[in-house]
Amino acid sequence: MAYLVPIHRGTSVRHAIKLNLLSPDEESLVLAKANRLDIYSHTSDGLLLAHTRSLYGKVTMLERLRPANSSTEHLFVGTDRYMYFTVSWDSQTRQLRTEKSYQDLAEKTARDSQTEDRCLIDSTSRFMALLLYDGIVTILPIHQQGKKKGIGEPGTLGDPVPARISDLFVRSSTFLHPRQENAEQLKLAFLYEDNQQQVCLSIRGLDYSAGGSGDPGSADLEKIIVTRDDLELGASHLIAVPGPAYGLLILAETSITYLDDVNGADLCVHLEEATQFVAWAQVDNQRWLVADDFGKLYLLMLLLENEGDVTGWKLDVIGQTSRASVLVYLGGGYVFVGSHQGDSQVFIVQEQGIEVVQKISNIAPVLDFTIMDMGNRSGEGQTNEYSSGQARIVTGSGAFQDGSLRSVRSGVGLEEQGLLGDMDHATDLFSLRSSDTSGNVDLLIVSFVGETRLFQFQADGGVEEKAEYKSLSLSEGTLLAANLSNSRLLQVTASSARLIESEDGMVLCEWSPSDDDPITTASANEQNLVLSVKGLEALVLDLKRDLKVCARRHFVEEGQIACIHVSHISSDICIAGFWQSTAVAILKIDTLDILQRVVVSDDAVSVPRSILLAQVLPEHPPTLFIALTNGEVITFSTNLTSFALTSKKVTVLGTQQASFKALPRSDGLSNVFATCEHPSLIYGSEGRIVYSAVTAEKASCICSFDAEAYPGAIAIATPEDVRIALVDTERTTHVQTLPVGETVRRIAYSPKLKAFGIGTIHRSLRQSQEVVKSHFKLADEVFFQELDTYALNEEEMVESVIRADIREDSGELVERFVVGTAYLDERESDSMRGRIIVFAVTSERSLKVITELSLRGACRALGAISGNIVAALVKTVVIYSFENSHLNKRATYRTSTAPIDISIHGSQIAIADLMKSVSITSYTPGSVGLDDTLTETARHYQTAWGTAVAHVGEDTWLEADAEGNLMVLRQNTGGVTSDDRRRLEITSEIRLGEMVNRIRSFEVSETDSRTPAPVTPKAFMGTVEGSIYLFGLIAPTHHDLLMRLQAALAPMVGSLGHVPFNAYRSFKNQVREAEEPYRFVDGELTEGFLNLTEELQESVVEGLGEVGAKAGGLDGVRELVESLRRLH
Amino acid sequence: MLSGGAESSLILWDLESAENSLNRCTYKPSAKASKASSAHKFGITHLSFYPFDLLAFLSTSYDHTLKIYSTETLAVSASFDLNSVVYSHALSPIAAHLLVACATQHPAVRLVDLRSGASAHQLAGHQGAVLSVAWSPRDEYILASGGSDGAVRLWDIRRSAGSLGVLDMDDSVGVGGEDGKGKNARTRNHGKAHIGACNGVVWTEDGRHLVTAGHDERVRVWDVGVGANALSHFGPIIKNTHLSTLLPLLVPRHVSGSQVMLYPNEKEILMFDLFEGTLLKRLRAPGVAVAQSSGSVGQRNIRNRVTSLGWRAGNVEMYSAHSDGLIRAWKPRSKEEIQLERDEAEQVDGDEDASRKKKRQALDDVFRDLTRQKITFT
Repeated sequence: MAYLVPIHRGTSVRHAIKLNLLSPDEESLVLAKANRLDIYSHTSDGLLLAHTRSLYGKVTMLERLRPANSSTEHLFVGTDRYMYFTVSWDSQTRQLRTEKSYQDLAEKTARDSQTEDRCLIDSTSRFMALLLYDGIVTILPIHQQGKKKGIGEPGTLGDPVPARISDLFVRSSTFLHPRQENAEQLKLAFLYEDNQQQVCLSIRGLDYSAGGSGDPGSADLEKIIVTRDDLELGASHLIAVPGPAYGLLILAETSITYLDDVNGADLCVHLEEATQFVAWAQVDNQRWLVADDFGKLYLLMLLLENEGDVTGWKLDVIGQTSRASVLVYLGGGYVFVGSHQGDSQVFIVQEQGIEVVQKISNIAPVLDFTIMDMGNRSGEGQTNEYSSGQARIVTGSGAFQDGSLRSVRSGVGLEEQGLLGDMDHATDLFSLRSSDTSGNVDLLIVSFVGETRLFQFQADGGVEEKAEYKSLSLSEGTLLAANLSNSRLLQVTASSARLIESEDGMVLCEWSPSDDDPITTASANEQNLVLSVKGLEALVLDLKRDLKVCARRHFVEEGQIACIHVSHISSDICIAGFWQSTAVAILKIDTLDILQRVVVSDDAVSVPRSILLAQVLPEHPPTLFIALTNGEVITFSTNLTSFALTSKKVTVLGTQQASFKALPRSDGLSNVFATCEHPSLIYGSEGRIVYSAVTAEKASCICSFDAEAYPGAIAIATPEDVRIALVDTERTTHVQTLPVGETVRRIAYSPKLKAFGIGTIHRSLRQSQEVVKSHFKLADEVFFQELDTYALNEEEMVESVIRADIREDSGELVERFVVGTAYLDERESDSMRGRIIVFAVTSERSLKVITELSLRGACRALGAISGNIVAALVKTVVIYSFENSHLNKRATYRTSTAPIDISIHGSQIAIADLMKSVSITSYTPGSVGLDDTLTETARHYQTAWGTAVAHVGEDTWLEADAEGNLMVLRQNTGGVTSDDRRRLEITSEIRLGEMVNRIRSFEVSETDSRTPAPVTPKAFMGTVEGSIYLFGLIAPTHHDLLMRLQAALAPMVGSLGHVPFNAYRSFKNQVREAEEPYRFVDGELTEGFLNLTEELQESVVEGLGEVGAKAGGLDGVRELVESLRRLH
Repeated sequence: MLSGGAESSLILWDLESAENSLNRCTYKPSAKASKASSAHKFGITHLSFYPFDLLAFLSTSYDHTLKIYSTETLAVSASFDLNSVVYSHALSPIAAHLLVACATQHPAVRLVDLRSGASAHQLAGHQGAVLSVAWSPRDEYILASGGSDGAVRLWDIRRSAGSLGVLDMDDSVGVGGEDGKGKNARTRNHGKAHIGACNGVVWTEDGRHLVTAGHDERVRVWDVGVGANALSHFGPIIKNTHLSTLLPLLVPRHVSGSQVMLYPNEKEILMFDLFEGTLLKRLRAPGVAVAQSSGSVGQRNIRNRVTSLGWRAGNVEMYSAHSDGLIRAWKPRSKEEIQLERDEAEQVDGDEDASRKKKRQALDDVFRDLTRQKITFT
C-alpha cells in the first residue's frame, strides 16, 4: 500500500494562451503547467497569479473560443488522456466551470500521432482541427450564427468528424487565412515527412458537410491544392500570413520561404546563420516574434509593397531569453516567453533591445537530484528531516544555457512588510510600548556595539527616529530593554541597569556594578532582574524594590557564566549555563542555590550559549531550550515543582550557535525563533515540538514586534539592515536558484567534504555548428562555488556521477567520486566508446584522477556495493574492484535489453531495463578461489519501459516507467515454489502522468512517537515536468481507512471537464489499462478532504461506515489528514 | 504459448519458465495433451487463444471438429462437429458476439455461436473449400475469407445477403461509387484474388489493409476501404505449395516504423516491408537446410517446412513452428550484443587455450603418426 504526494508541483510551461477569460475587457494569460492551469492577469505591475486549478490529465492543447452568448471567452483544453473540454470563468463563484466536455475521441485502432497533439482554429472561427492521430484530422465545426435553430449556440463546438489524409508524419500545420470573407473552402496546410524522409508541403481544401438530424457530418481533406516536395530537410514551422499579403511562411533551419498559395510563387531567402526555430508569436499583420533553440529572440518582418506583394523579409536578433517552448505577445510591447527548460520570463521590447520585467521560476526538467541532509550529522531521535526543513533537495534543472542548480526546501516563509533602513551589524532588538494603555508596541530599540538607536512607529506605519527618549541611555549598547508593570521601563546596558518611569521619563533607580565591571548578560521577568557581571558573578536584583540586590553568587566550580535566563513562567527559578563545566543549572532565585544541574556536552567543547524556558506545548510541562556552540539544540521537559529535567532531545540546526527569542502567541503559548545560519521556528503542534526552517537569510537577531501598523509582525536584523516581516503560518516549499549556464546532468553530494560533484554539459553554437562539451565539477555546498573542474574529452558526455566508498588496496574504505561517460560518435570501429574515471578530492579541495578505465560502450549508471563499483554498461552490469590502482572486472550480468538505472541495497542490485522492467540480482563475493558471481534472483515478467528504480522496503522496489506509471514490486521470498520466489509481483500501481527521471530513497530513523505514523515516507521522485513527489508506504493499520477514503473522495471532488479520478490515475501503458489505481493512495486527493465543506466532509465520513467510526468519526479523519499534510 | 501437432497432440508452454532466456535455452513444456489423451483424432490445423481471457482456447482439426479447451486442465469443454475438414477458424478480438468463423471444405463459411452452441449460420458464396478466415480488427461484423477457388470475399454477417464483395487482383482503383465513399456503388461479385487457391488471409492492425497469400506464389495487399489492390510486389522468392493455411505474420506497428510482414517461405522466413515490397531479411534456422533424401525430380520434399509463425505480444520475439517438430524462438540481435559475444568468446578461449592446445597437439601427433608413411631403416 503506497502513498504519493507532491512536494513541488510541476512548473514547466509548454502551452500558453492569451484570452479574455476572467473578464471581457481584461486579457489574461493562461499557462499550462503539467496538469495545472494557472491564470495570470496582466497588470501594470506585471503578471499576477489570479487563479490556479489542477486537472486530471496533462494539458496538451489550449485554444480560445468565442461563444456569442457569453461575454467572456472560453478556453478549450485538451489533455493527454483523450479528454477535451471547454471551460469558462464563473465570476460569482470565482471558479472555472466546465462548459462542455468530450470524451475519448480515440479510435481504438488509430495510431497516436508521433508528433505532439495539435489544435488549430481558423481565423474566421468556423472550424477547429485536431491532429491527434497519424493520418486522421478531426474536424469540429464551430456553430455560427444562423437561422437554423437547435444546432447549439453560436460559438460552441459541434461534434467531431474524422477526415483522412495520406500525410502521416506531420511536422507542422495551419489554417490559411481566407482571402475573401466567407470563402467557401478553407485551406489547411500540412508540412510533413514522407516515406523517403523528404519534407513536403501540401495544402488541402476542407470540405465539410453537416449531417442531417442525428447523422454525423462528414469532412473531407482529399482535395490537394498545392504540393511541394522540394523543401529543406530542416523545415519546421508553418506560419499563415494574414492580409494583405496572404500566403504561407515556412521556417527552416537555414532559410525562410514565403509561399503564395494562389499563384504558387515562392520566395526563399537563406539565413545568415543556421539555427533551429522553436516557437513564434504574431505581433501584427507583418511582424512576428520568433525564438530559436539557443534562446535568441528574433523579430521577423515581411517587406510588402503594392498592397500585398511580398518582396522579402527582415530577420533581426532582438535579445536573449530562456529557451522558449511558447511565445505569447501580450500587447504593448510585452512578450511572454514560456519555457520548459528554464525560467519563464516577461520581456518588454524597447528600442535598444529587450528587458526582463518579470521571471516565473521553473525547476523543470529535473535531471537528477540529491538529498542534502543537514540534520543528519549527529544526534539521535531525528524526525523526518525534509518536513523540518533541515533536509534540502538540490536538483540539477534546466538545459544548456538555462541549466541551474535549485535547492528545494520546506519551510516557513517570511513575508517582508517593510524595510527600516540600512544599519550595519545590529546586535539586538527590543520592542517597547510607549504607554501602558495601548496593547501594541510602537518603539523599536536597535542595539549596536557602541550605541543604541530608537525608532517610534506611528499607527499609520510612519517611523521616526528619536534622538533621545525618556532617559534611556542611547550612548552604549543595550543588553535588555523591557516594559514592566506600573508603567515602568527597564534598560540594562553594559554599565548599568536602570528603571525609568515611562510617563515622565524620570529615572526611578539605577544600579551599576562596583569596580566598573561590565555587565555581560541580563534577563528579567516581572519580579527580578538577573544579571552577570564580567561573567564571574551572578546577581539578582529585585525589580519591585528599586533594584535592590537580593542575591549574588560566584560559581567557582562551574566556571564563568555563559548565559542566564529568568522566565515569565516561573518566578522562583532562574537558569544559567556555564563555560567551563558546560553545564546548565536551575537556580533558586532568592539564594542562587543550585536546584538541578545537568551537563549538556559530552566532550566539554560545546558550551551552552543561549537558554530559554517557554511553554510551547499546551498541557505539557514547559520546555527548556539550550543552544550549544556547535549548532545543536537540546530540549528538556521541565517539571516546575521538582525541577527535574526529563525527555532530553537533541536536534541539529546548523553549525553555529543559535540564539532564542520567544514569540508570544495568542493562545498563551509561545513559539521560539532560533536565529543561526539556518534560522528555524520552533513551535508546538499536535503534542510534538516541530522545528521548521525559516527562509530568512542571514538573520542575526529578531524580536517580536506586534505594532498597530504591522499586527503580528517581527523585526529582523541582518548584518546590513533591519526589516519588519510577518511569519507565515504554514510551511510551504521554497526554491532557491543558482544559475550555472550548463546542463547539470548528474549530481552527487558528499557530506564529509561538504561539496557537490556535478557532471555538466555545455553547448554553444560556433559557425553554425553545435559544439557540446562536458565537464565534471566540484562545487562547494554553501555558496555553490566551483572549486575545481575536470574537462572530459571531445565528444564525450558525462553519463553518471556517484560518490562511493571504495575499498582500496589498503583494505580501507575511502570516499571517491566515480564518473561514467559515453562518447557521442557513431564510429563503427573498436575504439573505446566510454570511460569510468575515479576521482579523489585532495585536502585543498581539488580533483585528482586516481584511475580510469576505457569501455567498449557507454557507462549508463554507477553504484557502489561493499567497496566495489557497479557499472551498468550498454548490455551488461559489471562489478569492478579496485586493485593495484586499476579497476578489475569481478562479475558480470547480462541484461535483457539495456540497463537504464540501478539501485543497490545490501548485496542486491535492482536493474531497471529499457524495455523489460526490473530484475533483481544478487552479488556473492567468491570464496575459495571461485569467481564472484552476479546472478539474477528475481524478475518482473512484464513489459515496462523503465526509467528509474529504487529500494523502498524489505524486498520492495519502486519502479517508474516511461509512460508515467509507478509500480511497487515485491519479491515473494516466502513463496512455496522456486517459480513463485523468482517473480516480482506488483503490489501497488498508479499513473503519475509525468516521466520520472530519478527516484532516491532515504532512511527515516524511528521517532519516539507513541503511535506509529500512518505513512512512512520512503523516497523522493523528480520528474521531467519539474515536480518533486514524496513516496511513502502506508502502515498496515491504516490501509483500509485510506483506501476507502480515497474511493469515497474520488467522486466528491469535482474536476474540470468531468474527468473521473480513476481514469486519470489508473495504470495505463501500451499493453494494458487498469480501471483504477491499485492499492495506491493519491495524497493530493486525500488532502483535498480538508477543503470540502462541512456537510460534504460529514457525508464522506458517513460513507466510510464502520471503518470511519473506528477511526474516530469526522474529527479522527480530519486529524489523520492533517497529520498526512504535515509530511511535507 | 500453445502448439498443436500433426499427430493431434497439444502442448502448452510457459515462456517465462526458462532460467536464462537470453542465451540459447530450451523450453520445457508445462503441460501436454499427448496423442492418446488428446481429444482430437487427427492432426490439428489451427489454434487460437480465447481473446478475452486466457482460460480457454479453441482448436480445429482434420477430424471435422472445433473444440474448446480449458487452458489449465487441457480438458475439452465443448466440441462442435462440422461434418467436413476444418482448415482454419477465427474469433473476433473485439466483438461482443462470440461467433467463431470456421473455414471448412464445404463452400460455405460456418459460423459457430459459442453462446448458444448453434452452428447453423452459414455464409455462402465460395465455390470450393474455404481455406482461411479472419475477422476485421476494427469492425466487429466484418469477416474476410479466402478459398480454394482463388476468391477472397468480404462479409458483413449482419446482412442477409452476407457477401459484401470479392477482391479482384486486376482492380487497383476499387469500387468507390459516385462520391468515392461507396454511394451507389455496385457490388463486385466476380473476380479472383489469386490464380489458384488462396490459403492465407490476414488483416493489418488498423483494419485498413488485408494481406492474402495464394498458390500463385504471390502475396497481395488490398486496401479494404475501396477494395483495391494496393499493388505491393514481393518478388519471385515467394513459394506456396501446400494446401494448408499459410498465414503471414504482421509485426505490431509500434515495434517497427513501417509495416513489416514475416512470411513463412518453405525452409526460411522472409521479412518484407509490406507496402514497398522490399525484402529486408532472410531468416534461416541453422541445421535446417540439410541435404534432402532424394525424391523424384520435380517434387519438392520439404522436410523442414515452416508451418506457422507466432508473435509474442509486448516483446520483440517471434516463434516459428517447423515440420521437423521443433519450435524455434527468434530474437533481434544488436551490434553491441554481437560485440559482447565476441568478447566473451575471446575470454573463454583465452582461459582454455593452454589445455586445449595441448590436447590438439596430442591429437595432431597421433593423426600424423597414423597417416604418414613410416620411414624404416633396414
